[in-house]
Amino acid sequence: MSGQNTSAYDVQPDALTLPFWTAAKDGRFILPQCRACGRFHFYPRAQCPYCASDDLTWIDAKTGGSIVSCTTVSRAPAPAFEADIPYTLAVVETADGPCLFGRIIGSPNPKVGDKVEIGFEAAGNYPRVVFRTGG
Amino acid sequence: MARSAVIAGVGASDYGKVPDKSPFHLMSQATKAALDDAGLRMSDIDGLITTPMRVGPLNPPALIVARNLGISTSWLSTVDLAGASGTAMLDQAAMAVASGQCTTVLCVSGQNLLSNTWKGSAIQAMAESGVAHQQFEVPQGPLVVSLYALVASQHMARYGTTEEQMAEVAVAIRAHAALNPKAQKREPITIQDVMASKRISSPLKMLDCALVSDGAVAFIVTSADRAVELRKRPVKILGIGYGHRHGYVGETRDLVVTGAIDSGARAFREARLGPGDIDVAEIYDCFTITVLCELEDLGFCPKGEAGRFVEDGRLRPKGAFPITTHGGLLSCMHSGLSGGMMHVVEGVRQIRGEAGAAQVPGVETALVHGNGGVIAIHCTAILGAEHTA
Repeated sequence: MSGQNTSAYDVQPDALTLPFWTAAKDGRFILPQCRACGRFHFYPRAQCPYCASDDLTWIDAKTGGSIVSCTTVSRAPAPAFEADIPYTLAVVETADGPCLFGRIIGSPNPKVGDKVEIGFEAAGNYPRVVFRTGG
Repeated sequence: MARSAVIAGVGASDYGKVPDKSPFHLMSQATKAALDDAGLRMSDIDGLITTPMRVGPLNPPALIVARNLGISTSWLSTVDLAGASGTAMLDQAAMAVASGQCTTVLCVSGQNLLSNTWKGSAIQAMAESGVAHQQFEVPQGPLVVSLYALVASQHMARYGTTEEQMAEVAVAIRAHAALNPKAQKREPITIQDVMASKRISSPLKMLDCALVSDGAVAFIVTSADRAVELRKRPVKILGIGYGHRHGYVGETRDLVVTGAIDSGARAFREARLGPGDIDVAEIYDCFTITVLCELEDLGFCPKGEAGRFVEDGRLRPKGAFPITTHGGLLSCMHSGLSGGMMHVVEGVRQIRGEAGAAQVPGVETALVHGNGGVIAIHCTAILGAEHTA
């Protein structure tokens, strides 16, 4: 991180997402779960996307996952990201079911299907989701 | 049974790099071209559909566009289904005519997406346009290209699709553009050219990506009764369907399985046709991988087979299955939401036999497909010649 312009990394949490970001600051990965149907979902919503119940809670989630897809970015979308180039972004299927978007750290050549460990690293006003590969 | 409304006229403004014209200037040009094509006058328009612009706010778009054109309509609306807007406008115009709210609907949209933006800002603006989740994706630094690259990467891993097979889509569509005197990029390219083009977000390279253009596009929908008296043979609307599954790429494990499955099935059901009945397909081509997923999900080849389906050159001019015959977003023009309207215009021209050097012989049915978001929102339209059911 360049540190000279971190605003592009910042997030503006709302009432639905603040628990996720607050837990992330403590290094905890939590997911919303529906108490009516028991399913996990992500991103956070006002109601369960499967059964429409608004009886939702947050659960400490398993930190394992596998890569659904990944791409290495060679051109920055904004000046703030230029110092990071190249970086690898991925969609990961978490062990509890929902998918999650984040950055790969560790392996220089991550592959679809590779196992990852979900975690966080310092970025802007809140940490960013990272996926640590075994390699 | 076809819809009671038909397409009576199509047109476009100058497009490509048009540094001297404002969005309203471009929309005026496109509207006049479509009216002239139909043999109608501005005063004949009593319905209007437009879209928002990405280069600046209109509030509300349909009102401001109506006032710029000097028309007072009995019905008007603003549609925004991103890249699916072109085919959706067609559907909604046909419904407005069928309901009796108006008789003759102008669908028009355009902007100076290329000239109005300082270098680099179009890319940043698109990255922040809302196709990525504002909290969970945008701060990680994806380009729009990255989001489609995730689709491509999964297609490669799951089905064995190669970068060369994706490149063939760009090569074929460029070959169609080479036949279109107005296309923004006409120089033929090879698979090697695509492979050697600048890496943007793996596996996608510069030539896997759509252009950025200035331009406006218009078409006119009216009742079949009214169209009888007009200049051109009407083009029928045989079926239209919508479909969507995921919203953001980060929420699905099946990036390569799209709402085009649903939009295509619904359009074919209304038209009482199947993929084998389609003479030419004007398929949304924001990236090469988009075309592969659409070919599969619309039923033109089995799921996972599109890479092998295209590699024999069948999408090229005179091939077994030419697609996106004006040169598409990859090589003709991409002025934002109006870019997908050009696929409608080309479908109409193919059915009328007016597609010039890009004409596919004997076209009676054309499928037009629009896709918006990150291969997320789909609208498929099936058009037919006057004598089709």
